[in-house]
Amino acid sequence: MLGRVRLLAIFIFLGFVIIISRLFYWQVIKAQTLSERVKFQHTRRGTINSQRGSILASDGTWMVTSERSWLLYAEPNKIEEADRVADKLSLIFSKDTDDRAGILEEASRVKNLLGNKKLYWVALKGRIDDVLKEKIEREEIDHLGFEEQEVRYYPEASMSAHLLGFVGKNSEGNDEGYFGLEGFYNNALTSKKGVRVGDFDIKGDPILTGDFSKISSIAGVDLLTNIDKTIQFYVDKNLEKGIAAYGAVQGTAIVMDPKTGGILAMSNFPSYDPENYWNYSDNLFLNPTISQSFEPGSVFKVVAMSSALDAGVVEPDTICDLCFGPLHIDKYTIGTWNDVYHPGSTMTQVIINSDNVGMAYVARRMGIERMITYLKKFKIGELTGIDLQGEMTPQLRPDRDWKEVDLLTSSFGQGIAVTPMQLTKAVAAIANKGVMMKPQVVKGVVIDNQVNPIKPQSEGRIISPEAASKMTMMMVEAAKSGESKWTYLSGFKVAGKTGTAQIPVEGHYDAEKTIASFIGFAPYDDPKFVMLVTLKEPKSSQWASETAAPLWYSIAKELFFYFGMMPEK
Amino acid sequence: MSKNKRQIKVSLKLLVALLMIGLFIVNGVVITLFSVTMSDKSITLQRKIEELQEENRKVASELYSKTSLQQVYEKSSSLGFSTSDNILYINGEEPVAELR
Repeated sequence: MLGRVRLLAIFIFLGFVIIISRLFYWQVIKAQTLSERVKFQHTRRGTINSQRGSILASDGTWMVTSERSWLLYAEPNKIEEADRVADKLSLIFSKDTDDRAGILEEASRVKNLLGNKKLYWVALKGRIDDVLKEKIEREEIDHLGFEEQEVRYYPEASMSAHLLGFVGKNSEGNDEGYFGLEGFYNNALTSKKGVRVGDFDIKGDPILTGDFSKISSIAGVDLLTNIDKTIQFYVDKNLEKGIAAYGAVQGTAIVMDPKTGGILAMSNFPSYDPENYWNYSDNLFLNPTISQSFEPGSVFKVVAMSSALDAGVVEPDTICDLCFGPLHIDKYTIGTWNDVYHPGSTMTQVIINSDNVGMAYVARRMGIERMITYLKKFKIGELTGIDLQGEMTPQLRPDRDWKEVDLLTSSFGQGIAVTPMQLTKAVAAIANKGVMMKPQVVKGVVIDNQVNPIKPQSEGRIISPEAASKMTMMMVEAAKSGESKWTYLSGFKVAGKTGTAQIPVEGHYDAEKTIASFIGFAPYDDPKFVMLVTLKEPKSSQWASETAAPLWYSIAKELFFYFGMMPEK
Repeated sequence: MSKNKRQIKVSLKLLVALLMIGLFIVNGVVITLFSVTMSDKSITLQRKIEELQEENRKVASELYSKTSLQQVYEKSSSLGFSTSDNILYINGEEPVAELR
């Protein structure tokens, strides 16, 4: 009995030895080789996607964000009935089932793509949403697949397109922001993809005891802007209406908080749809408020006059001793806009009457050197530094090239060019009691739901508070009693100035074409906003008092209500 | 007597060996069960995370549309709402309506 038990024990022992040595062979000696041989079966490498940052309005709601969409692809080399597949897909892609021509065109496009049997992979359609994806999947067509992709979504459609910019593809095929905020903050908005490598079972579930490593993705930061969607909406709506009503070819409007430099709204027409930017001409992408210069005309008188007040060369009640008739300089004659002259005008009346001869008087009192110094103080000829891609600036004439006629004409905004943003920034400094603020669209960066504020940036005092106050009161009188007085909203404490500038064409001014503008702020004693409206080549009237001014007031009327501004008794 | 003792000793050794093998097998089963349970939990959690992410994405998408001023304007216009053309400001000192 004992012998048998011993024999059994020896067999069991030998069995164990054989099994253990075999296991040792496979799991230790051959482990590396076998592991590498099967690695591709269970190890998967995936990309961890992260979204591009959103652009938010001042209330935290979205102006632009990213959404998931799908790219439909096919494997033409495996598809046998390409025509049937193309017909099916074209019907699904079509938004209008009655549009037979459109469906046939789409079917032909898909057939062409599927017809090339040498291709292993071809993209059929991008920007497919979940609903359309489900519809395609229900058809159970073989050798079609979907790839996840990110698209920019604009909840407010084309509102503030120039301000936002758009996202396109760069030369390497990656997403990149162009123009506006998308371009300026491209690096901050761009997300970084992560990588995940791990062991998965046959069903695609992770193996708990397997290897797993991950490099996390980094989401793009969100930008919190100063843009007030309500104000932007009012401005967009009224500007579009105004352009149509006055027959202008282009219009711009900027609303800025003079105390912080925050851009509350910015609008331009004609505009484009950033979601379908490829359907528009390239020259529509430039933002005219920061990239297009114009001779400002009479609105520039406020810059020249406030400089003269600050320099102490004139006072609001200084009498103009040149204002009795046209002024002749060399071969040039300076006259008033309506050929009506006002002898003995005070400086306030010069502004009220928008008197070019009166401004020439002011310019003479200033002199070339002092005028250039003040133009530079007002940052004319310098970039405003606004956080938008595509800003340009016209250059000031070199100091040595200034002649007397240049000095005189610059005082009423001719022979000098500015961008709408430069002009708004300069007048905002007057509204802000002489302190210039850098225009800012973004007021904070949102990282992990925490807002990191970007502080308003002061560019220092450019004129004294007294000079700013005197200029403000002159603008108040101009708004009340100037040529646009018919549109003035009584009691609303508006300070403003009209400007009708002729457009220089090949060395002379076009007699018919003008740029009409109105710049103003309210309430003048504690301004909530400064706003510039310009209309290019209005047809109904060439004068700003009959076009840009009423348009300015139609927007302002809504802003007064929005800001809770009540009229004085 | 000595033969019985030896037999008992051998039986004890065999019993210990069998117990060891039994323990080894039970241990293997327990570890496998534990691993499977944890793996299942992990997969369930992973799926839950994915579901919540998808839900979150849908809610966010709805929020984007619902907070759109453009859409609110279109909806309000279709419902017959319009902005007032003329706003009347009433002096606080003038009685307009009085509760009696």
